[in-house]
Amino acid sequence: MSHKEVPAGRAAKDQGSNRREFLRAGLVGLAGVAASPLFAALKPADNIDNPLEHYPSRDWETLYRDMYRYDRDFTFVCAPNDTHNCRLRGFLRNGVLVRVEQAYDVSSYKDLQGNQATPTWHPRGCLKGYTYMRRVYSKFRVKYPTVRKGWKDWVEAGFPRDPQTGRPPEKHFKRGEDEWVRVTWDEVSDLVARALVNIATAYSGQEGAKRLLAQGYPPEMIEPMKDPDGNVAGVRTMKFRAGMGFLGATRIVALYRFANMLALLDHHVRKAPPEKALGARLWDNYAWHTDLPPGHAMVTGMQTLDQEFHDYWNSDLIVISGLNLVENKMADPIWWHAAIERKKKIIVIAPEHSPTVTKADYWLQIRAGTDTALMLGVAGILIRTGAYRDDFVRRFTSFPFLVRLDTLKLLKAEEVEGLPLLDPGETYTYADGSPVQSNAKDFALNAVVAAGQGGKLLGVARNCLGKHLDAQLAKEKLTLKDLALDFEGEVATKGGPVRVKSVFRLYRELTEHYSPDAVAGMTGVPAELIGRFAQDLAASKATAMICGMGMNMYLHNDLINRAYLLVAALTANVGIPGGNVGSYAGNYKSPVFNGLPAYVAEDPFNQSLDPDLDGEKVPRRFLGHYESLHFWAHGDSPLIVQTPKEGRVVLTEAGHLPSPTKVAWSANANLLGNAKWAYDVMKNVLPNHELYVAQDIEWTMNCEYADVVFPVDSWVELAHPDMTCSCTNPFLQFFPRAAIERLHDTRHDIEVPAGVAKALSKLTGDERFARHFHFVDQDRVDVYMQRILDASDAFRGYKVKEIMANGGAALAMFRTYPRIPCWEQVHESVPFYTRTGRMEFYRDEDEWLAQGENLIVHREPVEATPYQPNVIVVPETFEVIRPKDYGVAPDELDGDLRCIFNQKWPWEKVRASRNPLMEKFGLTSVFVTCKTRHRVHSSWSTVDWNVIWCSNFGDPTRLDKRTPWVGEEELDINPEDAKALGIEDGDYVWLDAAPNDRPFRGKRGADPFFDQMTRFMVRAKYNPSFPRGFLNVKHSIYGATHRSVRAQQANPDGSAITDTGYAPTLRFGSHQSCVRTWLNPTQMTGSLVHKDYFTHKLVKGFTVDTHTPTGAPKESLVKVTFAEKGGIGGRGAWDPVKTGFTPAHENEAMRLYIQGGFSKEA
Amino acid sequence: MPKVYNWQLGREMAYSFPDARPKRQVGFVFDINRCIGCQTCTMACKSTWTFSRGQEHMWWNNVATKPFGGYPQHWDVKLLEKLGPQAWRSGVYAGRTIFENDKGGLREEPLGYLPQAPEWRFPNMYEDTATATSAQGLAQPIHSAFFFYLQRICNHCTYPGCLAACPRQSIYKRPEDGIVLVDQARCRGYQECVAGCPYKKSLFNTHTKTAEKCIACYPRVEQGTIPRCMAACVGHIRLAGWVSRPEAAREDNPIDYLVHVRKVALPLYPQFGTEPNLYYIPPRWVPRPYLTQMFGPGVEHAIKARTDPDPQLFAVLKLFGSTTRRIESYRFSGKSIKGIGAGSEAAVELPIEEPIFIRPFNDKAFAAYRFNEP
Repeated sequence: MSHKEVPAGRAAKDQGSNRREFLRAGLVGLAGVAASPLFAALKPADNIDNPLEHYPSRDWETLYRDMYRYDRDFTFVCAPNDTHNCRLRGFLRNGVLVRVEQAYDVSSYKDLQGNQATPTWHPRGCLKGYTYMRRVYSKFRVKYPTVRKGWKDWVEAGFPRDPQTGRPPEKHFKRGEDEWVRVTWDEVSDLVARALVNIATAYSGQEGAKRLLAQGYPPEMIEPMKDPDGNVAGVRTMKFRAGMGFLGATRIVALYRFANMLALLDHHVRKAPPEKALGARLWDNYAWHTDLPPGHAMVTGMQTLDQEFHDYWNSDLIVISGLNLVENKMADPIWWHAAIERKKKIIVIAPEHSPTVTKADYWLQIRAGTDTALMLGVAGILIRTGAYRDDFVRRFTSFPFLVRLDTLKLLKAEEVEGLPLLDPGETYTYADGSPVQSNAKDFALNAVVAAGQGGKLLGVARNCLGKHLDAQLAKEKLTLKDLALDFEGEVATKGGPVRVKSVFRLYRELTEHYSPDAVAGMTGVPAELIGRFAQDLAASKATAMICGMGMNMYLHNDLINRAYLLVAALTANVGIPGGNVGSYAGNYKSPVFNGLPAYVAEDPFNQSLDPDLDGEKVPRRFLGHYESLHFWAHGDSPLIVQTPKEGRVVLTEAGHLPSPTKVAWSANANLLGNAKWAYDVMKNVLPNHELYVAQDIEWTMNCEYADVVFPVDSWVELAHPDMTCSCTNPFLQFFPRAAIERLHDTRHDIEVPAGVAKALSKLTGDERFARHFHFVDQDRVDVYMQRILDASDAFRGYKVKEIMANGGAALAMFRTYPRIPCWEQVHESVPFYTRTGRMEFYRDEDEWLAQGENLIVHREPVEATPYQPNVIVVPETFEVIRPKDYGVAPDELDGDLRCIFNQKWPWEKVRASRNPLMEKFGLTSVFVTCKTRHRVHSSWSTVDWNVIWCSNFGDPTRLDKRTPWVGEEELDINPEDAKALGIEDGDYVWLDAAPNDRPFRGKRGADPFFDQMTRFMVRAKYNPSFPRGFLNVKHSIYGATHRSVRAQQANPDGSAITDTGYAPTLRFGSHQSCVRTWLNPTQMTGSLVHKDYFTHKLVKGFTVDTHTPTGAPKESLVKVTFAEKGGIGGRGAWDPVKTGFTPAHENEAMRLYIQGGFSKEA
Repeated sequence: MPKVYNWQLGREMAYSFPDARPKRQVGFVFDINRCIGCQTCTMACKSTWTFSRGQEHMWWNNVATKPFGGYPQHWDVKLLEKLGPQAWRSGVYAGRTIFENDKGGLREEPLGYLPQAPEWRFPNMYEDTATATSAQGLAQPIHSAFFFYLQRICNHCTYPGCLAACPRQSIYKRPEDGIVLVDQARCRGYQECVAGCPYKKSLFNTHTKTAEKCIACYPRVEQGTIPRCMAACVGHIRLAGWVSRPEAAREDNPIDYLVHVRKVALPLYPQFGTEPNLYYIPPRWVPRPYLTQMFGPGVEHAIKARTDPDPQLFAVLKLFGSTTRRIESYRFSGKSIKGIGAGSEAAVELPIEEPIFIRPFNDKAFAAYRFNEP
């Protein structure tokens, strides 16, 4: 657009005349001819004396009334991975969804007892719901089943393979640069089915194992493929990711059901009897996104503590840490904003001046990744001043427990002769008396405490917490206060005398090294502010500690999580209204549908076709196996390192071990685009896959590099109903069927695996594959939904048909509304899901001892630090921390080896050190990738309006032809940092991380196109909100691909939009160019006892999305280099910079304006 | 030359037309303290009215980060610079408005400027950008380095700059509700209004070649429903209704209560002289001189009232975002507040305190056990 028609008024003014005068003169002069038809347009308007008072011709107003008109409205659920699941209202005109509004219906949601939510929840829904129709009608939709030509050739040539290694010929696997072929649904299902049969066969048995070893996989990776007899099953090379299944309990989770069903394929291929048949592998979601706070299970045994948002109404103090709550969780801000009028305090902990900081009473500006130090500092103050809640700590934590100083293990009651055991028996039972935590006895640890004068020793059974402790102590004629917290002594064990200290004593000693002054040095938070914070925590009646990914995305997130829970426990902010630690990211909480196994694990050898069967009675056999997706993004390998002192060490315990990946199939996820180390995956992992399937609505990077792309319905085209629920609200939301006709040759997500199952039936002659999706065929997906509800504790009693007929939503039946984590533990003395039944702050398992993390201790980030990476910050003489020294050198560059650099250095030594990466590679700044409000991760990257608003550079006219689409991403950089590097606001820059492994492992120069494509280029935005040495690019961008780089060169308008319908907002590279996957040994143990995923049993070791690696994408150090000038076409500076009104370039008027000098009260 | 009374200035001022207030006037209150800059309002408006050819650059509603952001770019500092430093004395505006020359007489046309096409690019420039870098954190009552969100639509002014500027009188105020409209049939695209509106909320459609602006969603207002941008606001920052002249203010009208009784909401750049009918509750953390420059005198009082509200104000703040119906009056009982819409319809009722429900572990009625930990 251009304003060529500058009206004469303003322009003419420059020449000294005035348009109004001109017009008046003209009109007067023409008055005589005004009546003539030829001059009708110039006729002066009649009788508009005062348009404030009267306007004669208002008929034209029908224009906007006509525009507004619609035929009917309907509701649907907007459910990207943001946790909110807002019910929206869509408006149809001629069958077209023209616009959207929030449904304003929450106050009608009821539970089975008639309790209702209040209108305070209204309206619920954000900018992305309002632009949803632009996703639906986007030209970037996947429109029909699409297959990569090279892969199709391979299948049709009969799957040729190298005779030694079994590898397919490379020529068929040029992903990213191949042609695409449209096929029919029958064809694509048949192709995929044939490939599954062939791959399962190729990698089964001894032959299969031989091939995999010949291809270079370590033998440890073959182990997870074995059945109980040790025979290798090829289906175990097949990985399925139901992308955030909680968002679609039947339609997305269908992929997990399919994976379990593949036990039928194993049965055919290996002729294994049903009892020995194995299903495929199921990839995780929550931990893959690094959303899981792994430390929560280490303290409580539970997956994650998270209050629902309306609980913040009950808080006295709200602490928001590492979470930009203003920019995220946008559907429900009123619950914490009300703190302003309720006169409650808001404290924010963050490295940068985020929008959330603007709402704070005060801001603790922290060096990123040092939260553990801050919390230990606070804990130290609480302990030393006696401001902690001693009753809570005695009743609910492991603080009173005694630790042997010889082995560093918890002293067990059985190790001491004749110890009285405080044991209330079974305390948490069903009506028939059976214990809820039914197998807890198998894992229970009876710890030892000292009590009363003279330190009488007592054993404490697992169930003896809360009120039961008081009762059992009374039997020994003791009160709660008699139970020693701060204890040191000698115990006569069966094996001889042993010195012991209580866990509490150990923390008192540890926190002496985390004094306010020391912590001020470590964290950058002034000592007096740390003191004020501790005081406010102690004084508050109920503190919500709302934690986010800003502190969770470091290698030592588990230490950070444990540290927040430590302070919460010391101040009794656990399990009370308004008082809890909550960790928030994506919508992960599938266990709310704990009846999902009735669907995922229905026995494929024995399905029930009874539509009325109670879900609890569905025959189940879980034959699949979960696996962490992080191994895939880690070169498709576990953590096995060659160490100087211990030789080859396997740090991934057997239960976590991945198998080799030959098939990768994801639904509802931009798997490759959102993968840490995406370009390394592209170069070093994808070539080893033989079938890569994407199932999606729009064409993402994941589709660009796939072999098969299945197009699926948008949320307003859904052919079948479905349901979802949330971790931040109690609303069971039903997805209704389609409101509009399908636009393209798409199918519903559930129909995709159902179609392949049918094709497998055809190929094998076994009806059971197709039967596994019988109710999809019958258009009765509600049967699967009802079964899940029947078998889910929060929903048993609800009927699908009733809810669908009454607005499509209901309240989940938790114990409390709001759902308050640990409420049962704190109010009813139900045991935590740990060995000891209490919140545990001391981990005595070998893996933690080896990593020096038996106590919570601050460790520097493994990369994102100016100091020695990964060092344990505690004096060498602190003898209760005894890490295993693998001989890794302080200047070790290899990322994997750095994870086990286990040396203790005192803070003074750490402060004087320098990160060797800075020296060696010239890296200068910590690089983070926060979440933007304009998208949900990479979703909505396809909407022009969202792209225009997401940065400084949104321009629908694309005046600068270099812009890849109508906008592009920006780098938040402190202006002083930028100036020092000669970078102007708006310039293009490169961001480079450590070149030894990023953007990929491999030689530079071998493929110059790939080198250029993967090097991250982004536009600088001067932003004083960011401190020096701290950079940010909002994450989950549509990054550069082979095609998008070629498109920029070929498209006449210079845009990067590809022929496949992919529109990146970066010219080169991605933020993934600067991040990689990190595996933490404490997250891959076989020792941690915690709650099972779908039941109330205890388990030990690996559990999906609970005890598993989390990746650490904020561990990134980069350098910034000038690339191109920001002015149009690369000439001069970006336009706004020339005005004098921009940051670090303020002219006199701007300075006066910021000071408020243009209008004062005199 | 007409003189009109502008109550926000506390005095008479020159204007192009004689005083003629509408029978009722749409009025809005935006609470900046609650805004999360989510742009839901922006997309609500865009998807209703400005999604067509010629409107690609057009955003009738926008939310900008102040002080560096603005749509069009730098609109307010540019106009303030033109106007020059001005002053208030004892609550009365002692400077000149955009309509007044140095002698207090009427200017030929309102003081203003015409933004060039490139200035409408980058609508969200400098999102979340602070005035300076902090190193040791910040604390209330004033953040020395600051930024905040300013939400903007047409203010449906009592004395519009656009209306005064139009040489054809193609812009008018509706007598029944005070909504300001550009007659799309009679507009000839001179863009005098684009230059003359001090808030830059009259925009040029390059396809129809007319000026277009926020219409306060009058098709909805006529049905007793609030505008799209107000219904969209998930932050609960917006309240839509009628605003009265000060002497006619009714305490049970929530807009009157906030603006005239509690005086917790203030007009945007009242010194421009248009008597805008959109009122802002100022953000509690921003330095007061900047806020006074933006909202006139009364900032400190407004912030005090907002951050230490009496029970009635607390209740009225709960009405925001509760319903899509226009609330014309309310009844506050102490335990709850009822919002009443057009034609005395019961629009919404909210409790002042929120409930907590506790359910039994053994839910015998449904043969189920309930858990908080699933």
